[in-house]
Amino acid sequence: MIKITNLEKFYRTEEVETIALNKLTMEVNTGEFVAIMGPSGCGKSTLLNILGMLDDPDEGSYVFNGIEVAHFNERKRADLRKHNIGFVFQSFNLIDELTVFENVELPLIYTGVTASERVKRVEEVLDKMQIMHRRNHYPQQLSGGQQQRVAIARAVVNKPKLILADEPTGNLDSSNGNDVMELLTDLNEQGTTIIMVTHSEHDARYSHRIIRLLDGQTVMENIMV
Amino acid sequence: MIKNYIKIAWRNLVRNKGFAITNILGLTIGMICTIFIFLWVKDEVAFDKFHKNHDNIYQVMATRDFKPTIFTDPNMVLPLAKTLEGGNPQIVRTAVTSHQESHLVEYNNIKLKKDLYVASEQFFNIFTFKVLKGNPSEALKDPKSIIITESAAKAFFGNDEPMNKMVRIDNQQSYKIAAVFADPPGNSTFKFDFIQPFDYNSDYVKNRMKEWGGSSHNVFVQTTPNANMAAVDKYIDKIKHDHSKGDKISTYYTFPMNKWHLYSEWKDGKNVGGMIEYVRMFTVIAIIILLIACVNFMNLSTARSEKRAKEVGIRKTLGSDKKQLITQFFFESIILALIAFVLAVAFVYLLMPLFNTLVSKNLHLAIFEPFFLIGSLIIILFTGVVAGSYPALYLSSFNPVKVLKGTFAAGKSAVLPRRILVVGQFVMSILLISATIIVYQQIQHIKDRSIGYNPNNLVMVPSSSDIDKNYAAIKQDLLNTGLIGAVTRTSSPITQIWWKSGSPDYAGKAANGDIIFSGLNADVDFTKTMGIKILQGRDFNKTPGDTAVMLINKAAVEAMTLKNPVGMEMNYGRKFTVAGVIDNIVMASPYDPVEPLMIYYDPNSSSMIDIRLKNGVNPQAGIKALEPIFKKYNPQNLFEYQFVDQEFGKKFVTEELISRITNIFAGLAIFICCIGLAGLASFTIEKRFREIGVRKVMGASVRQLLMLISTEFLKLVVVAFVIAVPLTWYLMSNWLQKYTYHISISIWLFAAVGVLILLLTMIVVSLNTMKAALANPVKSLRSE
Ligand SMILES: Nc1ncnc2c1ncn2[C@@H]1O[C@H](COP(=O)(O)OP(=O)(O)O)[C@@H](O)[C@H]1O
Ligand SMILES: [Mg+2]
Repeated sequence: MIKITNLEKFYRTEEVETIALNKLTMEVNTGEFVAIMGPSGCGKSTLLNILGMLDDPDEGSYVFNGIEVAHFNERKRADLRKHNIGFVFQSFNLIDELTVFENVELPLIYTGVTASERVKRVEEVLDKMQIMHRRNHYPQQLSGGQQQRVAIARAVVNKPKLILADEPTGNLDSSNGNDVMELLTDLNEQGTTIIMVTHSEHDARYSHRIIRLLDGQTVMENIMV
Repeated sequence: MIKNYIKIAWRNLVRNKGFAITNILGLTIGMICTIFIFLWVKDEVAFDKFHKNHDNIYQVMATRDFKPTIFTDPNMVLPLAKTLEGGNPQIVRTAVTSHQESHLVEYNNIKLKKDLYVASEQFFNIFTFKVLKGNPSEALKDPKSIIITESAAKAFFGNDEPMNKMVRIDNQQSYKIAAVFADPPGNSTFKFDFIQPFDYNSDYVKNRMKEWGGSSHNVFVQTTPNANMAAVDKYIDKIKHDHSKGDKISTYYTFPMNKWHLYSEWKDGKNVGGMIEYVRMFTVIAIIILLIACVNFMNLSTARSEKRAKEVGIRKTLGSDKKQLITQFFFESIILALIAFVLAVAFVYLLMPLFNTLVSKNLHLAIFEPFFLIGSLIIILFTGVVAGSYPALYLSSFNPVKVLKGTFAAGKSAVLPRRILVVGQFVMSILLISATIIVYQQIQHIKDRSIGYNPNNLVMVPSSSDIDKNYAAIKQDLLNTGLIGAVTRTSSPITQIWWKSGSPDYAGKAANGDIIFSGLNADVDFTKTMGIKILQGRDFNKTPGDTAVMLINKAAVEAMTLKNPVGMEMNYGRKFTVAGVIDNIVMASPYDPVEPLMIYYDPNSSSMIDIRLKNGVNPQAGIKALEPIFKKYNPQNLFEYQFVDQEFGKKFVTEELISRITNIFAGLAIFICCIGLAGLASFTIEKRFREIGVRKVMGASVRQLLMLISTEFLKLVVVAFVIAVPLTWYLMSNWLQKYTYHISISIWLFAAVGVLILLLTMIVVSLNTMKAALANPVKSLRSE
């Protein structure tokens, strides 16, 4: 599904140039559940953003489902993204002005799903995430665990082929964290490819494979048994 | 999708009440100004447009070239209209009218002074006034008929049928009401209560119809659509010159009705505009005020962008492209503009009577007129799009990666543009305020100009044939009251010039070229009554009349370059000796230099009796004393009077009106700026709440905290001031150039405006900062 080759990403500030990704090469197959680990600042988020087409690489190739996307413009990336990729963030990133239902509905609006179909699909995922009873609440009225479930609901409502999760349990206690990991595992078992950044060895154990990064380069890959 | 936009726009407004109220308030005030200004402008532009043929109606005018001065003259000879008719296929109709005259009209025991035009037969075929009863065109063919307006009919006949009633004019002939029509609208050049036909059988009209010199009528032509006006002008000019070979100084041409009102000023034979300048000026002011309000929205939106940044990041992550986000933000600004507009319309409704009094018009808001609907759409879209443009582009360009990572300090990159916008707002406001003050000072300056006579405690009573007959007795009776210092009579009010001509002949007059003279007839005690200084020689002094002498003014002496004017011989129809030279007196426009003037005695042509009340006499008591005397000698007429100072004051009506309007708009512009400033300040404080708390813990005083926040804004005001001063100076110096007598712009003015704006900024910012500065720091630190 994903094949990146010699991917490079630099950040230039006034004086220093940071190499966030350094000739990184990796591959992720459809249906895999991959965990990315590494010390803070090694480029994990940068990688995830590029994989999610929120950002573009400076050098190298990124083939997504057989299409070279490294040099796509914003519009094309947005188009590809909204149909294929769901995001889960450490800090949830729900829109405060929208209710739970409306937050989850948002991706469907952007992909042009009809209103009646939207209601059906949103209710379906809310049910599955067990937050149906909170559908008319605003994000601030929910606990962290509930917010993350809404965020996951939003990530999967469009039935994306790929879910990118950046430290999804980082702001949660271990019980809520485990719930989230169970949810992701379920999704993966139903065929969704998942790439997750995490600091937690415990969480990483839910995955099939761990890619360890250091200074923007792969240093090791563990295959989980 | 649209529902989603509206939903989130609405919730954003409700959530951020301060932001919403600040913006809506600013936009509403801006729109109120704009709506009022546009209504005023529309009324001005629509002047005379209610005539169906307004595109094809022209007045015949003359450029009269008295070398070296040229003046533009609407006065024409009576037979011109008839002669032009039928002679040129492009001229469909012609009409001639008298000047607007005020006459005593009587019905039963009701006597009223009413305005009247004498008009020729085609008048109502050219000008389409709304007829209520009768056939005005037929009525104009019958010299025994008269046509009345609705309100005049009401004044004389109440609810009785006006048709066929007889009214008497000036105690002489009676006329039958043959038609009634609606009062001319407020934006009509013709304003009248009656229209009366010419009586071609009367000796006076018969004689005037043969007379091709001595112009005192107005002539109008209606042409075919798309007529070649150059050819029409040429034809008119030729006809006039064919009939008056002696007329060597005049060129005749047509002046379109569409320009009568807005382009009414002439200088050196050229049209120099008129109200159009104010129409343009106010249109610009309306747009500036609206822009100032839009800038508030831009600034507050971008200042608040940190709050919106996350939303933008998420939406982009979820697949929204930039265009969709831009659309969304435009939606928000347009919704805001719409709300503000609805409020503005409500306020315009409420304030309309006040505004009408202010501008002396009778405007109203017709919501279902296409003009209003289209205008509304334009105002809402303009405001929404202008206000929303920068925030939309700015917010939608956020990079989702940076925003969601939290390292992105939204609003930072908008700081400079925001500062520029604030500076722009203040430049506009300082300009408007300074300009307002300069206009005011200029008007005061003209008012303070020495006018050469004393208009206070001076009364004018319109003359009549009875008054002229009994003048000597009246004068004696008046003086006998003991309240009156002096009496004279004049052929025109001292506040107007009714008579202009070439100069009299005198020794040393240039062979080619002439000087334009104003003329006046006056009686004994002229200078004494008016309070005019005699520079050389003497006043009229023989009783009953000093018929062989002439007074001239200082301007005349200068224009004729005379060394010893007193005793010189002047020939103006007959021989006069110059008896005295008087100081220049301002009879015409107070904005212009005084023209040469000649005055001589003519007992038969007085229009005003001029009465000087003694010093300290209460004017009302004076009038009480006058009344019985005039009633006694002039029983047929109404007793009327005017105070000269008030009449003179009328010369400032337009300027004072303009000054009043600009005052208000400048004030409102500043107010909108302050609202925006308050919003920005409170936002800055919100962001720096923690910082303020920390500083307080470290020992900062409230005053230091106020300074800390204020400086940021005061700097901007100073920059605005530095830009605004030269700009204002340049624009207003240009404006002042059109006045011969004008002030020079003072540095103190700018200093005062600068201090005012700085103070205002300090106050607005301090009020907002105070709360944070006084708050318990523990609270602000915990709130993190
Ligand atoms: N917007 C940016 N500007 C400059 N440097 C950045 C930016 N984003 C990330 N970096 C740098 O790139 C490197 C990788 O960052 P990141 O991918 O966020 O690391 P991780 O998520 O693994 O902690 C770090 O050194 C970080 O400082
Ligand atoms: Mg990271």
